[in-house]
Amino acid sequence: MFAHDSRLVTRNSPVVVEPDVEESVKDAFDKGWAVVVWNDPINLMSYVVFVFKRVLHMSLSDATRHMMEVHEKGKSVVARETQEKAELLVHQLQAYGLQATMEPS
Amino acid sequence: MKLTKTAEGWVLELEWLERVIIVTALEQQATHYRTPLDQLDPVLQAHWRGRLSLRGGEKAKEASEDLAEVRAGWRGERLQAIERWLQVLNLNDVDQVQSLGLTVEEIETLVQVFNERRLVLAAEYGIGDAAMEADLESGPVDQTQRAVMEIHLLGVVLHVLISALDGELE
Repeated sequence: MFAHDSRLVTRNSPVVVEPDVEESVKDAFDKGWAVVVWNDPINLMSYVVFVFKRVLHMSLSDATRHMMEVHEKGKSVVARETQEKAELLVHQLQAYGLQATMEPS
Repeated sequence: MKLTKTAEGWVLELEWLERVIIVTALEQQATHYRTPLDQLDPVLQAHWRGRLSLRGGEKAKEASEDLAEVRAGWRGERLQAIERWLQVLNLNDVDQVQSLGLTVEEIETLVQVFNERRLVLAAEYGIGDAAMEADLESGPVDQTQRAVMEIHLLGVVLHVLISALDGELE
């Protein structure tokens, strides 16, 4: 389909991609979003480890390390993802009641 | 309180006092879910809006609205699950242990509901680190301390449930 679109391709010339399209494609594949979990006084430490294992498929040692980072430093970056995947992870972490946000990194 | 795996699925066995704690928490949470969002205390409305990003700017604005919609959807789903469980559990029979059959997915929902009950109590009563670590045996017990006690009790319940689920994840 794109091969017949004169805006994108001309004979004997390199592919020309419009800047806004290029930006959209870059955004879609760029893992430029950090998923951050913040400390709170209510969620149990064992519960946070459980959620990291369940949602982020972390090993017990990774889940425990990130939980301790949340507990001691107030937050932990638990994933770096595309915008779409980061949104999904934030939804899943919040479904379990964790204080999770996504931040441009 | 015992959660065991059988050939048909999981069975949660509860003695009377355990049922009192669990049924009371579920009934309170069901009332919370039934209350329209705009009639909740502003702090609870904020809890249900959630927050997607602190620095996301325009890119995260639309997605924040999606998040609020998704979060609101959990209320109806969880209310339905609670209503199913409350049909099975009752407080009339003091001497008998009662059983609640659960799938793994239902245990996860139960975990989410109990944890949410803890978060809602904390938001409603402004419970932070100091209140969570306060000595509950000293002085008269007020509503906030009762809420802290419930948060701690449900923490024990959660511990039992996630110990069972941990085995399923490994």
